[in-house]
Amino acid sequence: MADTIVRSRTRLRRRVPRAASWVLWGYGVISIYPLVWLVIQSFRQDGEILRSPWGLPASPNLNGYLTAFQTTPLAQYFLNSLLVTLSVVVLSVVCCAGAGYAFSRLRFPGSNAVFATFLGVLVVPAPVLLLPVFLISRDLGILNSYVGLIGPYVAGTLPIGVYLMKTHFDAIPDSFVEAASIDRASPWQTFRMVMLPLIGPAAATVAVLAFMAAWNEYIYALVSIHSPELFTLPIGIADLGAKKFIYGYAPVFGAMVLTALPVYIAFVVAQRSFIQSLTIGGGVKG
Amino acid sequence: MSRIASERRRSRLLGLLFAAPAIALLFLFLIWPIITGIGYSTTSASGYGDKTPVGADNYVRAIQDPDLYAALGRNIIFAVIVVVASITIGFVLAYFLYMKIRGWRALQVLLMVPYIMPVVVTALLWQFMLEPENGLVNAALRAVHLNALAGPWLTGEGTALGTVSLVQVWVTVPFAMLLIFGALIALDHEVLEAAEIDGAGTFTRMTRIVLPMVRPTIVLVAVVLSVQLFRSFDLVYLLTRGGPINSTTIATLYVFVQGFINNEYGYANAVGIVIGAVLVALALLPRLFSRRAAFREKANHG
Amino acid sequence: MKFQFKRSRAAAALAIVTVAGLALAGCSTSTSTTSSGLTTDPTQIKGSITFSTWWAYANQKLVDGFSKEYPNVKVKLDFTAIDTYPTKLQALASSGDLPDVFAAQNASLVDLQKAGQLYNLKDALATAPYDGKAKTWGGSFNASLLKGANATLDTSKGETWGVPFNAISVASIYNKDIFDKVGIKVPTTFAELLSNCTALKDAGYIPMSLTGAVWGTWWTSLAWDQTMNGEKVADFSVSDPNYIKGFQIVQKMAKAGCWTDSQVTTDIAAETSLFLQKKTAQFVSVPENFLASVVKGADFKLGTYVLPALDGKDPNRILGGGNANVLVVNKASKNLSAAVAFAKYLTSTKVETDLASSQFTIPSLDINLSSGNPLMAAYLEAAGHGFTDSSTYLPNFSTAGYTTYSTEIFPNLVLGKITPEQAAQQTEGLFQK
Repeated sequence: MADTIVRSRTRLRRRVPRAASWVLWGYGVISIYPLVWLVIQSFRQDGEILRSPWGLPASPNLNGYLTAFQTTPLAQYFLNSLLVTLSVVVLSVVCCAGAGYAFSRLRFPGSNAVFATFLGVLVVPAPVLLLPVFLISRDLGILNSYVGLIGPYVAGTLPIGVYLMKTHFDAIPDSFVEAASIDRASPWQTFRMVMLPLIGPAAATVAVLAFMAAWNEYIYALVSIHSPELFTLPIGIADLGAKKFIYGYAPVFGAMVLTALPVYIAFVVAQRSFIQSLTIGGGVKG
Repeated sequence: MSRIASERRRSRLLGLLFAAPAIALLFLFLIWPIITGIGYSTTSASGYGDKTPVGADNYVRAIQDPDLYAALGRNIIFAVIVVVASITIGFVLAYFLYMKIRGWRALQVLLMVPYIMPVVVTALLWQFMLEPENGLVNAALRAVHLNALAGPWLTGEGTALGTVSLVQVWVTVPFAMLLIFGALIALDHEVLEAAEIDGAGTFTRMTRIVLPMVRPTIVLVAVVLSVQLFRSFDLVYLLTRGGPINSTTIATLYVFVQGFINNEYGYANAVGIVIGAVLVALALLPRLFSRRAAFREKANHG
Repeated sequence: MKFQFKRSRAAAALAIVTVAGLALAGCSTSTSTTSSGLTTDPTQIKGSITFSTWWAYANQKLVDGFSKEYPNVKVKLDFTAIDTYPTKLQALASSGDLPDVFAAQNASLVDLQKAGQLYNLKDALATAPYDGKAKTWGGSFNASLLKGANATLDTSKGETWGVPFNAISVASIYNKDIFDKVGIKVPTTFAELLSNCTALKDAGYIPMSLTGAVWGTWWTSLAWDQTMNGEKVADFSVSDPNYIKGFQIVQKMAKAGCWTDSQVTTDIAAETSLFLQKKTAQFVSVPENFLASVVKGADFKLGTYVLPALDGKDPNRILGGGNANVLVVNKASKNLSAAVAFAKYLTSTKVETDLASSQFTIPSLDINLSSGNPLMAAYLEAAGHGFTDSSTYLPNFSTAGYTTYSTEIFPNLVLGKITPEQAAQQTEGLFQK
C-alpha cells in the first residue's frame, strides 16, 4: 500500500521546491547534532571534555564505557528499564483501548461522569501525587518491585490515553457499527471485527506516549526502588552524574548514549510498521 | 423487546468489564493519592513525618499567593509558545516529508531524535550548548558576527523562560510532526492532485487546501500538547531549576519547590489543588463564553 | 517489706552487671553498656543496618572496613545524588523507613529533628570513640564543628542530634599562567583581591568563580563573620550596620567586576569547565571532589591561596560547615548499637585521615594534618584559622527564607539590581522564629 502512495507521489515530486529539501535537511541537522555530539564526547578522556567541549577526541577510547560498566551494573539497569517500559506500553494500550471503547460505544450508567474524572485528574500537578502514591504502594506491599513501577506508570498514561482512544472510537462512522449489528454481532464481536483492526493510529500514539513516559521516568523510580538490582537506567545515569567529579564526564555520556540509542534503534526498526499503522487508519478521516 | 433490553444490559456489563482495569488503576494511583494529598493540604506537614492540622489556612494563603499566579502566568506563556511553534514547524516538516523528497525515510528517523532522547540527556546537552561563554550556540552566532543575538539564554532573567520554551519546542516538534504526518497520509490524495493540476503553488496548496483538511488532527495535537505542557516538569527543572530568580518557575515547579525544597509539604498540596481548580476554570471558560453568546442570541431574537 | 526485697534484688542485679563489666573491661577499653542501654562490645553487636548518603567518595570499600572490627554486622550502602537525596529522605521519613545511619544537611536536617526522627546522641558521645587519643567520642571532634552541626536544631534539653562528618574549608585555586600574564600577585588583603579582579576583567578574563547555584552565599557568610563577630544574636536586627556591611562587601566585589552576570546561576560543573578552559582565573571551592578533577584536567600551572580577610580581621575563620555535612542516627532504628558504632567508625581518626589523603576532605576531628600535596596546603591553613560560628551573632534562615535569600536577594544584589541596604531589609522575616 505504501508503494502505491509512492508511485503517485512521483508526479508531485517534480514540483517540490528546492527549499523543502534545505529546510528538512537543515532542521534534521539541528535535530541530530546533539546526539552526534554526545556520542563523540563519550569516547573522550575526562579532562578533555571540560577543557574543550566542542572538540574531537584526541585519542578515542572506550574508557568512559568501561568505567561506566565497572562502577554501575548498567546492563542490569537496561534490562529493568526494558521490562518495565514494555509492560507499561502493552498494559497502557490494552487498558486505554478497553476504557475508550467502553466510554465511546458501551455506555453504562455514570460513564460520562467516570470519563470526566479521567480527564479531571489531569489538572493536579504531579509533585502532589509523588508521596501519596509512594505511601499507597507501600501499603499495598508493591514497593521496590517491578509492579510498583508498572502500576503507577500505566495509571499516569490513562487520562490522555483513554481520551485519545475514546475520540478515535467516536470518529468511527456509525455505518460500520450498524453493518456489524445487522449481522447480529454481539458487542464483543463488534469490538473484535470492527474496532480492533482500526485501532492502529490511536494505539500507536498511546504506545509512543507510554513508552516515553516509562523509559525516562526518574523521580518516582528513585523514591520507590532501593534494591540496586531493580534500578532503572535514569537512576543509573543520575548516579554516574553525581560522581562525575570522581570518574569524569565520559562514563555519564557513555551511559546516556546507552540509554538513548536503543530507543532510537527501536524507532528505526519499528518505523515502517509504525507508518503503516498510521496509514491503515485510512478508512477514518484524521 | 426483551432481547434488545438484555442485549443492552449485556453491552453495559461489557462496558464495565472493559473499563474496569482502567478504573481500578485510576482509583488506586490517581484518585486515592489526590484524596491523600487533600488530606495533607489541611496540615502543616513538612514531609518528614510531622502532621499538625491547620484547617483551611494553607488554602487562604495559596489563594493570596502572588508567586502562585506568577507561576501560572509563566505556564501560559510557555504553553502558548510551545504549542504554536511546535505545530507550525511540525506541520511544515510533515508536509515536506509528505512530498516524499529523496531520502524521506532517513530524514524522518533523523527528525525524531529530539523527542526520543531521554530528558536528562536533552537538558544536559542544551545546558552545554546554551552556555553564554562557551556554548556552541553563542560561538556560532559570534562566528557569523551576530554578536547582538548571543544572549545569556538560560542564565538571564529576561531570556530564560523564552529559552526554555524553545528547547521544549525542539523536543516537541517531532511529536507534532509525526501525528500530522499520519493525518496527511490518510488524506485523499486525489483532491491534492486536482489542486496541483489547477496550478496552485506549493504554499497555497499547503495552507489553503491541506491545512483545513488536517484541522481535526491539529486541534487534537494542540489539546494534547497543552495538557501535557501544563504538567511539564522534568525538562524545565533540569535546565534551570526554576531560576534565574524564579523566572522559569512554572506551576509544577512551584509545587515541587514548596514541597520538597522548602519542606512545606502541606502548603505544597494546597497550592497544587488551587492550581488544579484554576486550570479547571480555564478549561471551562470557552464553554461559558459560548453558552453566554448563545444565550444573548436567544435574548436578542426574542 | 516487698519494697526492700525488690531493692536488694536490684542491688544484686547491679552487682552482677558491674562485675561482668569489670571482667569484660580487660578485653575492651569501654564498658559494655552505656547508660542508655546500648552495647559497645563489638562481639555483641550483630545484624544489618543501612547507611545512606550523597557523598560520592562513600563506597563499598569504606563501608567494608567497618566489618573488620564488627564482623557480625552487615552494612548496606545507599547512595543517592545530592539533588534528589532530600526527596528520597522525605519519602522514607513519611513511611517510617528511614535508614539506620545517614547524612543530612540544611533544611532536611532541621525538619527531621522537628518531626522527632533523630536519635539523641548525647549519651553515646560520652562513650569512647572508635579510635584515637580522645577519651570520649564527643571529645574527638573539633568543638566548634560539633556545635555548628547542631546550631540550627532544637537542643534546649541538652540534646545532640548529629555529628559533623567533614569540615568545609575554602580556598582559591588560581591559574598561575594567567596571573603571570596579567602581572598580578596572590592577594593578601581584600583591597588586593578587588584590584586583581579589576585587572583580570580588563584583560578579558572572568576574574573569579561564583557558582551561584550552590556556593554564592559563601561570600556573605564569610563577610558577616568578619563584620558581626562579637555581636549577640539576641540583639540582631536587619538594620544593624554591620549586617548591612556584609552585603556591601559583596557589592564591592561585584562592582570590581569579580563576576559576570551569568555566574549567578552557574553550577559546579560549569565553573570547573570555565576554569579548565582558561576563561576564569580563580576557582573558589572546597577541596574534596573538585581539587582532584581540576588537577586532572588542567594543562596549565596551578596554585592555591588562602582567601584574605574580607574586612581586615585576621585570622579570618573559614566556613566550617555548620549543618552541611552532618551524620545522624535514626531514632526508630532497630539496631541502635550497630548504628552508633558505625557512626563512630565513620568519624574515626583512621577513616577521616584516609579520606583526607585520598579524597582531599577536611576532617571534622581535632587532629593535625599535614598534606603531601602542596595545593592542599592552603585549605588546611584556612582550616587552621578556625571555623565560623555564625549562630552566636546571626539567626538561622528558615527553610523557605533561605530559598528566597539565595535565589532572589543574593543574585539581585550581585547583579546590582538592589542596594545592600535593600538586600538587608528584604531579609526581614526570612529567619527561623
